[in-house]
Amino acid sequence: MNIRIRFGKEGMMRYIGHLDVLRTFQKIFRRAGIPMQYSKGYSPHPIMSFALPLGLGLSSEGEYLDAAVEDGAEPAAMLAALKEATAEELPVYALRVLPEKTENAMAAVGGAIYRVDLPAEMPVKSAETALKAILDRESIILPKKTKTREIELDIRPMIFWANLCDGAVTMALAAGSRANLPPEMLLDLFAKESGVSSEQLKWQIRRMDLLDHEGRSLGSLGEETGWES
Amino acid sequence: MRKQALSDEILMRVEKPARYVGGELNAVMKDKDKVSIRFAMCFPDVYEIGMSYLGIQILYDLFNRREDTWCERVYSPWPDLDTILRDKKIPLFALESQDPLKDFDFLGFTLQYEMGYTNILQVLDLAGIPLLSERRGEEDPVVIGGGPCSYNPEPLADFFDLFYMGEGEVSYNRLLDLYKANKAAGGSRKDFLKKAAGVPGIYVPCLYEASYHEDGTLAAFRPLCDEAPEKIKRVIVKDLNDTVYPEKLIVPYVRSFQDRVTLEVMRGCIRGCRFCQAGMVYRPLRERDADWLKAQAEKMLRASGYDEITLSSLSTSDYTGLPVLTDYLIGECRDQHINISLPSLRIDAFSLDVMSKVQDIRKSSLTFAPEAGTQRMRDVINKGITEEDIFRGAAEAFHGGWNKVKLYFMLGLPTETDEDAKGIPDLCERLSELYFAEIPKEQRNGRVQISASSSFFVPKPFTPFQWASMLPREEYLRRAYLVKDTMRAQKNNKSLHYEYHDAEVTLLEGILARGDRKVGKAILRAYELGCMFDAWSEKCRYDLWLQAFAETGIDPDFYTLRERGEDELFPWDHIDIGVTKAFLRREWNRAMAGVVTPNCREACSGCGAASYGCGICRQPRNVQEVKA
Repeated sequence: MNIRIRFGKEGMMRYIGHLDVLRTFQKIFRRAGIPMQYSKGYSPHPIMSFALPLGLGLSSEGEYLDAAVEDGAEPAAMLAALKEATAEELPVYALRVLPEKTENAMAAVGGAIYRVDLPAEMPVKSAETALKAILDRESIILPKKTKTREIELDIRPMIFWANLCDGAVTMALAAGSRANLPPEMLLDLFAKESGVSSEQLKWQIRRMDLLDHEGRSLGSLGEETGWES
Repeated sequence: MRKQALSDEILMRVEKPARYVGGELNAVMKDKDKVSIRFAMCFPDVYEIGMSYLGIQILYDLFNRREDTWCERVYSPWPDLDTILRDKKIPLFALESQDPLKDFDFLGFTLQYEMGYTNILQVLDLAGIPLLSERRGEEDPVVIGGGPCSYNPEPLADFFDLFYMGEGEVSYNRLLDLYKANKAAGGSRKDFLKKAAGVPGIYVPCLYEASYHEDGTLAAFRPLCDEAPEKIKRVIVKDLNDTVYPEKLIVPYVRSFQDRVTLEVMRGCIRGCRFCQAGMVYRPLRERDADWLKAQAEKMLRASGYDEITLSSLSTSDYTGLPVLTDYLIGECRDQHINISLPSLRIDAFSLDVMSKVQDIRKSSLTFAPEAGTQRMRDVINKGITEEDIFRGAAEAFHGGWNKVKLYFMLGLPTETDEDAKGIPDLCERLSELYFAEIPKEQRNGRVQISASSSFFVPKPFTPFQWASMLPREEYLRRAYLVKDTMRAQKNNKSLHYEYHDAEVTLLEGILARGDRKVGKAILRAYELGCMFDAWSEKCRYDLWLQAFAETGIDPDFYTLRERGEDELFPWDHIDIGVTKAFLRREWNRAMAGVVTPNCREACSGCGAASYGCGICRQPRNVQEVKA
């Protein structure tokens, strides 16, 4: 059966790259005593995949990992075992059994919500003005480097919404394989508009959740199966 | 949340920030206000190498079992971070608490190889701890060293407050108790060092004085006070089934060199190869019960989540419980997708059978370590394998499906002639011919590949070759080319491959390995000149080392090119490892005569390790007639 877990990256875990996090989760599942399903073939490996890699240095409370485990285990028991087996800075929050034929997490991602705490000394007014100036534009053309060349990209459609609240900017941006807007790109723009340093903002980025193509949390797959947490 | 010693900007700038952040699975966090001893344990090399070493995990576990002690880890910052720490004046810190090393009570170094010595100074320097023991004050940590290189501690004597001779399980608790009691009683650093000299296995270098003859050799080595014993005897665990062993290994996030559970099946070695320091300084052979190991393996795999386990020892084939243990592991691990790796196996029918069960033959290569190309040379070094053994093993391997063979050799061994050197390509050629003779064309799975590599021999203290002379630099290269060119002239040269190791590092290692106290000044100078990470051959600056020797009046040839006299007093003679100098000298004489000595299971040769009264020494065996 396939399960999805929601986890976070805190503190210095932010400096562990996503391949290392994947290898770590293989170990955490073993420590938790949850039998994995393995790929067939020459060198079998546990079937496990992330929804969307998180950039180095970013913290998160909304990461998702799908894994194929042997049938039969109780979700609540698995969650308790994972919480016990993981490291403090890699908290596991929730687990659910996926309905059959669920699209895999990676393909399902359409967006991501980020929160950026603004510097305490920054006037609320100037933050509001800067954010409004960005959101009021019909298109925002930025250069983007691809592997082979530089192209022009309109990022405005990739900004779903943004709020200023509680001394922080919270924003929903396109993410995933179809369209992907790194939060740093928007922050650079915001920094330019408001006059704060983008370096200062960069360390404050926290991923709050991932969204599917309909804008729902990757954790909600229909009413009937709530999160076991 | 945990404190962070480095800013986000710095962590984003350095290669592999995971090296510096700690927080791994099973890393131990404690409240620093609730412990009375803080111990920082250092492997003076980069994180991925240091984390692969079992010894630190054993001590980490041992110390952290004490409620009054918090043991943390530290490794050498890679040059990118090294530069940043110096520029920004950030003191080096331990991984767990991220607190500066200067706040600790102890800073321990494991001394695994000589070429890591300048990295010890790097760590001290970055921590803001005076490099010289005599300059340290009451507030500085006690700097202690242990591990194989500490058996000749003299080149490092100026930098260390204490050395620990032997296995950590024995005396560390006593040492820590002593430290705590001394602190509680208001005793000074010097008081503690003097008291520590009374703990079995502890050597306090500042309590001794060396004097030299005019020719530079050691004249006398004397204790300066009553507390310091004449001889410091290595301490060992008598019963390995009666020790603590880490059940919860720290699991690094980044891939380390040994990314697996390591199960230490025994200590010591019966073989008595005359070049091998480990084979002498870890005597006698002591085995762990297979049942004890089975239980341990299960706990360690479960607590770490590793998907691979390896057996560790100097010569795993000599472990008597091997068939039982491997049977068990193969049965347990298959269903759980856990791999087994078995290094240090002698190539015979049993090990080939086991290997074919645990690894993919098509992908793996077989490793032999004949060490020398001719039987004459193998007898001199007492390798204990014959040409028949090698050919029988290889034939069985070829029939078992292997067609890649790796062979390890040494060049520059005592008494070695050009014929011995040319024996290396000759052996490789005949092994490739054996493949063609044994395996019919239709069964061959690609070309047979024989790759030989040679390192240059470095004489080590406490080996029968401790008297031996090394060779001039050009001579090493000449011999390597003799092998290389002869290899190329072989009929099957397309199947043969040869690589040799660096001669410069060999000579430096030779100086440091058998150095005396005077050499310490050169190490310090080399560090000041910029030497660091010398074990990484691309980073080793031979020219700077030569400059350091010249500036400190050290003549490298005195340490490398001189055959020591029978009666010469060695800088390490005040250390008693159990094996006696008289035995080593007998072995030297037998080597010169080309006579082999039986291994400890065949017969006891009276090496002196029986003074420990444990392990193989207590099993009834023949006694070898003691003759030079």
